[in-house]
Amino acid sequence: MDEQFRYTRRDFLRRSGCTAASVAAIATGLDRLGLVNVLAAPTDYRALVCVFMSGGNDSNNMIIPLDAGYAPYQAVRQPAGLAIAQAALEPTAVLPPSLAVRFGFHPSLGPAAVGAQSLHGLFAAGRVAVVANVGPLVEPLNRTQYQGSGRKPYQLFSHSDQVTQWQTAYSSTRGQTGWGGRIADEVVSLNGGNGFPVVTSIAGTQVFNVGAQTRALGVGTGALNQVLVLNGFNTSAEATARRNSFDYLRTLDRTFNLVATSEDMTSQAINIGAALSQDPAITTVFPNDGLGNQLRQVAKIIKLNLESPALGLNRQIFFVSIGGFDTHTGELVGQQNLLRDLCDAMAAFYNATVELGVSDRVTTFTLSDFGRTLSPSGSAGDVGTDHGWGSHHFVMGGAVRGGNFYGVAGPNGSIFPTLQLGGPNDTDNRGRWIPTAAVDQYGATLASWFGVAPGDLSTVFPNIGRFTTNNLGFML
Amino acid sequence: MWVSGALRALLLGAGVAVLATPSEAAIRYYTVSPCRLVDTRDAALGGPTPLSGGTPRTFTVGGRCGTSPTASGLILNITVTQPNAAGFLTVYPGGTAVPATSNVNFRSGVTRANSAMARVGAGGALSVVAGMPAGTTVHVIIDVSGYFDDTVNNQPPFVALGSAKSLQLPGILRAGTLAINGSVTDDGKPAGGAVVSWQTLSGPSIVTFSPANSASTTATFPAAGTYVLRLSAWDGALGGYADVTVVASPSADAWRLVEQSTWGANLVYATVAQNAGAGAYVDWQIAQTPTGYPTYTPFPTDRPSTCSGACDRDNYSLYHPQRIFFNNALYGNDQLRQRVAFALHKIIPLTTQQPSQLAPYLNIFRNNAFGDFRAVLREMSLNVAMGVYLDMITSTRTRPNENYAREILQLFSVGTDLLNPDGTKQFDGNGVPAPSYTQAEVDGFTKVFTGWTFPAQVTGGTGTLVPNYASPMRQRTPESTYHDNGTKLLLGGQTLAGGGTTVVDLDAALNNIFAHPNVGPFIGKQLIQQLVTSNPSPAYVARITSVFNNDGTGRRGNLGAVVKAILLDTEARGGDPVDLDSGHLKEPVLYVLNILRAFEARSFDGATTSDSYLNPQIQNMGQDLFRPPTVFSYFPADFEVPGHIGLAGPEFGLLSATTALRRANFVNTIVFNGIQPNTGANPNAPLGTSLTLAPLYPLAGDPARLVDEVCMRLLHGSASSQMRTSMITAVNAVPVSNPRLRVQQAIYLAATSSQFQVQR
Repeated sequence: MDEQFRYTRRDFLRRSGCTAASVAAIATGLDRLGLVNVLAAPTDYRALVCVFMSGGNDSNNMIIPLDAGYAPYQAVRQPAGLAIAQAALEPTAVLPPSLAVRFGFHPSLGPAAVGAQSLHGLFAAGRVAVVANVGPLVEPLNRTQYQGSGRKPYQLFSHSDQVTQWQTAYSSTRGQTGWGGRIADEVVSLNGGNGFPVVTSIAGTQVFNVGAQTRALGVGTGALNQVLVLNGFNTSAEATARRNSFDYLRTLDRTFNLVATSEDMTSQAINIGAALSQDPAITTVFPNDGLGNQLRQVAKIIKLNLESPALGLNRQIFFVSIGGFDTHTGELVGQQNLLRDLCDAMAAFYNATVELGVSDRVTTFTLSDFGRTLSPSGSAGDVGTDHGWGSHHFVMGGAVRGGNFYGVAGPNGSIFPTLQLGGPNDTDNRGRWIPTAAVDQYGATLASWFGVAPGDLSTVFPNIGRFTTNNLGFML
Repeated sequence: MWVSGALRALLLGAGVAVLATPSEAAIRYYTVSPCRLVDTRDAALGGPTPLSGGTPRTFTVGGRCGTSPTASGLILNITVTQPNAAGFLTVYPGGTAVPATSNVNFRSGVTRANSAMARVGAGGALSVVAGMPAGTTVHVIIDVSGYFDDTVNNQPPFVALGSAKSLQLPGILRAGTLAINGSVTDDGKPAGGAVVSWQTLSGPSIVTFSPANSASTTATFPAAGTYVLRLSAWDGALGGYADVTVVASPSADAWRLVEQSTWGANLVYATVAQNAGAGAYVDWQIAQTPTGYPTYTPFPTDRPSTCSGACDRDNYSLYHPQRIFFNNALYGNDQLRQRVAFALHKIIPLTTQQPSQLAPYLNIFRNNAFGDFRAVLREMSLNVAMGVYLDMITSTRTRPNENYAREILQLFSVGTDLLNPDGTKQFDGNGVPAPSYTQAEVDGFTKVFTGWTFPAQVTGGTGTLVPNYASPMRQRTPESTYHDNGTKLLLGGQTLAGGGTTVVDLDAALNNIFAHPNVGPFIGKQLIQQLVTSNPSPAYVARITSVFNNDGTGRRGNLGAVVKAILLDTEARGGDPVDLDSGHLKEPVLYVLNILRAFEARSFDGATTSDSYLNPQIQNMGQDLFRPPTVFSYFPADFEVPGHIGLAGPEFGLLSATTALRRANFVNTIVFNGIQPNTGANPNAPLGTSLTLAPLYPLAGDPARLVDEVCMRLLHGSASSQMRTSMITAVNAVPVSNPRLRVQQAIYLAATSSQFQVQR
């Protein structure tokens, strides 16, 4: 069999949400790619990289209280065999100043080998922060309000709906644009109008990338000068005539919306393919797996932009994803492997940003459908968890105030949930945490660093005004 | 030609020489309506200058005024007028010496006439000279009232119909007309012109002609197919004829019906749809013998290290069922069943790495595609592959797993939002969509689905005992340990009483789900989207919902009736839709199969059928067959067309810049190169795939006909005139000495076009 396939039951979600754009704007913009339009290499470059953990990551097993805080965790998870032993967490222990108690990262987040880069190592070096108990909210909510008449996000615990809410930052109705795309709408003018999109997705079309005006580019992995190549045309008279007709047909029948959209996609691909003329070399070694290859592609595109004045993008947003986190069963082994892949790929990406000299200009952050129930599910021996809500996430980069945990204090007075079934942070009795920090606040913090003006934050995050702060403080 | 003795006597009596040749030729006198041959006062009749004395003038009269071109003598009335001197007029055959005769004599200034019988010279020429002093003038007028002609050498009428013709019928079961201008040329022998008639020599039905007895007529073709028509002419003695082939193509709507109901239209299917009608066509498809998947010997879930190489490929990858899928799609006759089964697979997806688990799951759709949706739900709920995929097989009273309970509601039956029968959402007082269930109902169904396990074991492919995946899951015993026997909250506020057994609770829960009013619009609308259009009108959805609710005989959930109603609905039928939001983007598997079926895909060398190893092609475009990335299928059912908020476009979920070019690059490969076989022991692609292009070579000399044929096969004949013209220009850039390249040129352009990528 010539394919390498890795079978997991619920692989990464590939929701799609391509962006709106005026093709005319792209076309005229990209016309200028062909002109001698020597812009300086970007001097104020910033990039956001979204790593989507598809399926709903059980962050209860990713960031675990130690010492006195370990016993409640152990009480719920140990009987079913889902607890990670405290001794195994010592090598990846951290002490965030904001909480002044120790936590252990999942062992897979430590170095894969002696001396290797890791998320734990980067946390210790102040390059990684944890944002605790984030999730979609319509408004701040405590357990009483949740069980009463407080306004809740629609279709909680449903994959597709929660993914949409994480990516759109709309929780009372279904959003049609993503906050990545809406940030792109705000900053596109910083890119000199050359037409190469702000947002590039290496993980398919997702609503995160959909803006009201901007359209994302979707490319796969592989040599960058080969990802968007149209085959089959040479300089012969027949091929030239065929190419002329091929291009002309895309201008016809455009009153039919589906036809026009299909034509636009082909046109965009051809135009941008012309701009991707090299395959930059990255020295940093990435793991040769899904996320590793996606992040390596992001590094190459960043490098291409830095070295191509004609592209001259000052602001870029990237979207990658890693799937398989929907661990209803087999969680111990499943998550162990997934977090290993996540750690190795993200650490390599950080090293690549150092190699490119932009480590303080690139910020990488994770999202996921939801956290998972503190209480296990399924039969012993193949134990897992069910869908939850609030979860913990990583932010990585030289501009991050790393080495600390951030969030919003909840009903228990802490940014970190009380690990108790039926406790103050629980929706009911299975340990599904009501988020204390909203996706809006998480995203707005990133957007502010990225250059969205304070007055424009409510355009990108229309619901931000319902929350106490629009900045969680984890960026420099 | 004989002349009867009586006529001969008559002619002889009239002083007419009757030629008596050994072949018994005869002369006959023919009348014509009195007609003016010459009038030197009239520029149109040989004038306007008068004859000049002594100067002959020659007129071409042969064959004019209805006289035969081979007439030996003309009966003339010769009139002179306005002579300005006395004289005489001599009429004689053109091209001969002037005889010393006269036909009419006159004085100056008078008008005189005389009859004459004149022979016509070579070329139908008649000469006239005035015997008058030079410089004087006279006008002459010559009228003809009859002629003599021999009846020998009668030529049969000459009939011509031109080259082969074609038309496209205007609608399913509707006849089409074509103006045909034949020509019949007759020498007028033996008696006047020829009588004309039309016939249908061959064809699917009898063609009618109006008028029936004219060479120029309008022919009406009732059915699609190839006709041979004959135009015959009979001159009384001899007959002539010509034949013409007319191809009556199925209507655009017939092709569209086939496109909506198969993996790719071809002329055979389109002809059935055209000539039998939409209802009979669907019935014919429903009646076809189903294709499907074999029963695979089960293998253990964890691959033993001894099962490597081909064993691994054949039992721990989906290589084999993927090839079977493509083989059935390319060559099977149960096309509609296959389309519906695949649609159901997309609505109720799973993936597994074992063919022995996949095949029974796929066969549920094959078996029930035109059957009972309730049966689909039940068989799916107890299917081993589904139990493994969504964890029902490990869900117990003490360790319940809600995965299957949530997904059966969200994806397989009712969906998250309460729907009206027309598929639109119901909203609560705050403008928020009303949910069809909450976590409480998910908890209830989770309890229902507890206590199932693997079926009995059989000897598997490695000699060890393995569950027989083809059998349904069975109750895990003792039931009191594994099945939750408490009360369970179901949909619509129904509470299932406690104490039920595993099976009783299952069926009660499935009944509850199946009866929910959401199921009709939720499933019905998705079937419309898969087959016809991504954005059906609410009225269309409502019509289908009512068929789902009651097929006319009181049955609910009759998928055969639902599918037939979808295809026969006025919104699906009637030719190219004018709605600007119409149609749906072809997902990779449909896109690839459309092209392959349109051009009769065969093996790389053309000698036999394709090896159907085609999954790599669609995998490249983002669709890995039977390996959807999540339970939300290859693409989400509610994905919207980029840039058009509120406009559904599920298949656009797989269209990015990368996959857009992969589509074009696939066309480049299959059209210009083919897919080569690979070699070695147990090759994945033993035969490869190529298109059959040779039948189109004869059209390559006429680019317009070639483009029309390609556009008929791929676009139901609905390419715009600009598209057609552009394609013709591109074909013309290829030398006519290279018909294969001309054919490839045309196919590449049509197959890469967005007009083809969007099914409308």
